[in-house]
Amino acid sequence: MTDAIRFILNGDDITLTSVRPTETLLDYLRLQRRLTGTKEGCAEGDCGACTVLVGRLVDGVLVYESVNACIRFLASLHGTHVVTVEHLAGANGALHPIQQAMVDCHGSQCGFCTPGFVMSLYGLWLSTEKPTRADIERALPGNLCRCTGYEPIIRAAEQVSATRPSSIFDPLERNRTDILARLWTLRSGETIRIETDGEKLVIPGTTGALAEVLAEEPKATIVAGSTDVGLWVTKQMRPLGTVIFINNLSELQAIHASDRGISIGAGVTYSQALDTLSTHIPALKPFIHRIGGEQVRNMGTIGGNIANGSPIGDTPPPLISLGSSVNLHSKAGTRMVPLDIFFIDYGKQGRRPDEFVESIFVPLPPAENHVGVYKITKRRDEDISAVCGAFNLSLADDNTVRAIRIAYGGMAGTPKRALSVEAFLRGKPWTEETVLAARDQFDRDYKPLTDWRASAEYRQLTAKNLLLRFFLESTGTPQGLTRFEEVA
Amino acid sequence: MDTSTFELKSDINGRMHVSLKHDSAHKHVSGEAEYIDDIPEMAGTLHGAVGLSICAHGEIVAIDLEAVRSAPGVVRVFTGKDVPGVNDVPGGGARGGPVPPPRRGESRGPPFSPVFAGPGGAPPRPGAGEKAEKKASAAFPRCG
Repeated sequence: MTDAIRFILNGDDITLTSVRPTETLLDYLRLQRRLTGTKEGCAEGDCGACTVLVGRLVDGVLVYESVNACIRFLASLHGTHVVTVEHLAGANGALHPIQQAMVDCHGSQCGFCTPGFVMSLYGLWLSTEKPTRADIERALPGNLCRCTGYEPIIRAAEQVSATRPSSIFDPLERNRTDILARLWTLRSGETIRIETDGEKLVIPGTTGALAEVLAEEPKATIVAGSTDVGLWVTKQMRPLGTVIFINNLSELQAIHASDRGISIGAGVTYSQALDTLSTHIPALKPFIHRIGGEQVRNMGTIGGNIANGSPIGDTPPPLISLGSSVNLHSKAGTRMVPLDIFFIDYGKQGRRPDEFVESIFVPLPPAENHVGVYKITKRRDEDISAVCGAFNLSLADDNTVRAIRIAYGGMAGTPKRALSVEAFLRGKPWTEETVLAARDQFDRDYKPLTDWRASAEYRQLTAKNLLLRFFLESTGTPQGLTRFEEVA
Repeated sequence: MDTSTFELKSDINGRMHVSLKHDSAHKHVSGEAEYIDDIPEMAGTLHGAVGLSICAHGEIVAIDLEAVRSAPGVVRVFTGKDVPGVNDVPGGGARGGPVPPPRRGESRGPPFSPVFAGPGGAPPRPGAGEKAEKKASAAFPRCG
């Protein structure tokens, strides 16, 4: 077969032999297909006006997830089913129950964000039978509405939840078997290479092929969920060189839990990891719910969050506090690097150019350990950390600190352990007095910067206070403010 | 009275406590509502980008736009000098203001140089290559 990007768009089979690596799905839909129901708002995966559903095979099951078309690269859609708002209404123009509920409940005013809301509600409706108010709220942070208000939209979600997908009116339910069969035929496991106007993209069919490609092109940009790299293109107009898309690699999609710990493939998204991580490490559940919006959680990967080395990435602080390590793979073989030393300096990680992040191993903390992770942001949902603190404490029988690992994001050029604080606490009684005395040690571990998210002074004080919060919570005094029990 | 010639209404439109559907609701939810960005471009449409002041309060002494003018695809660059007549563009509030400001910037971010380029290519990056020399006047806080 000729090298091409093949996917299904609504009902049509699409084959593209000429695709620039940085061409976005949104531009393709709006400019080439003139499917203008999908809107461009922020172009950075925040506002959700561009929300579409992408159906893909996960362990052989066809799953539809909401994603941001604005930061999703076209080439990353190989082997998927892309569903836009134009696909919902019946052939006679009859509205889909989701759309009808939005009309009935007065869910639109200026209407610009509405198609995106319809698609997010559609994704929720397909995946969740009787969504609670909290489920609905969690599905919508990635959609911004600035005139209707959310209450009518939430009422629409509640109204439509009385209906379940039926082949009579729902196109995805009606064509599920057909789409599944067509997607299977697109899975070849072969490596795809496309060069357009001198720009190259590669979709490796296997991890072995990925290692080969990287050995040839160590300067290539590896893209998994593109929730970060997408902005390099739409906001910074940065050239990426050759782009290697790994989101299609089934070998990187596995997440396994054993008695020892959890192994997370580099292509596993936040949404995919949620159940396993929150079952074994409950403190991570509310934390993952606050990463991006639902669309970003459906695209973004933990592997990418680590590999890009951001000092304010969400997952590194808790993963470092749990003692995780990262498994790097190249033609020369594989090696494990403890995550805390993987981050060397700002923009510098312990990955050689010919290596890729294959998986992350998270050791399970003993059940009696206290684990806490706190993300401090300007708004609760869909925001980036000003400070993130993560704690993993093991107490001895006499209530002294047997072991503690503390890691922060937003406090240095990398996610970083608080080694002086840890050393100060070790062996001491776990009391408020000890914790208050330990706070001075933060000044040895961190010299945070002032930027638009927070001042250096705020960060330093907050970091100290989070230790106190962790102490209070570890001794049975919850400190979090919750609007809805389930949402927070 | 012969009622067959007109319809007697028992109610009025839009009275209180009656649910009225938004005129465009159907178009909104189906994605058919057309916004400016959804209308196909005419052949030859130019893309505009706006250069913004990086200084909240300062005096524009000179604007060097050579790098912008010579960037590939740029057709024309405008500044306040190109506005004929009274340079007063209506603002969102009661009072408009000069755009681009002719001499003195009074807030951070007002546009001072629309750039038109194209067709076909991406608009040039706003601010690329621009150098506006600014001098803090005694009457205004120094730029930081």
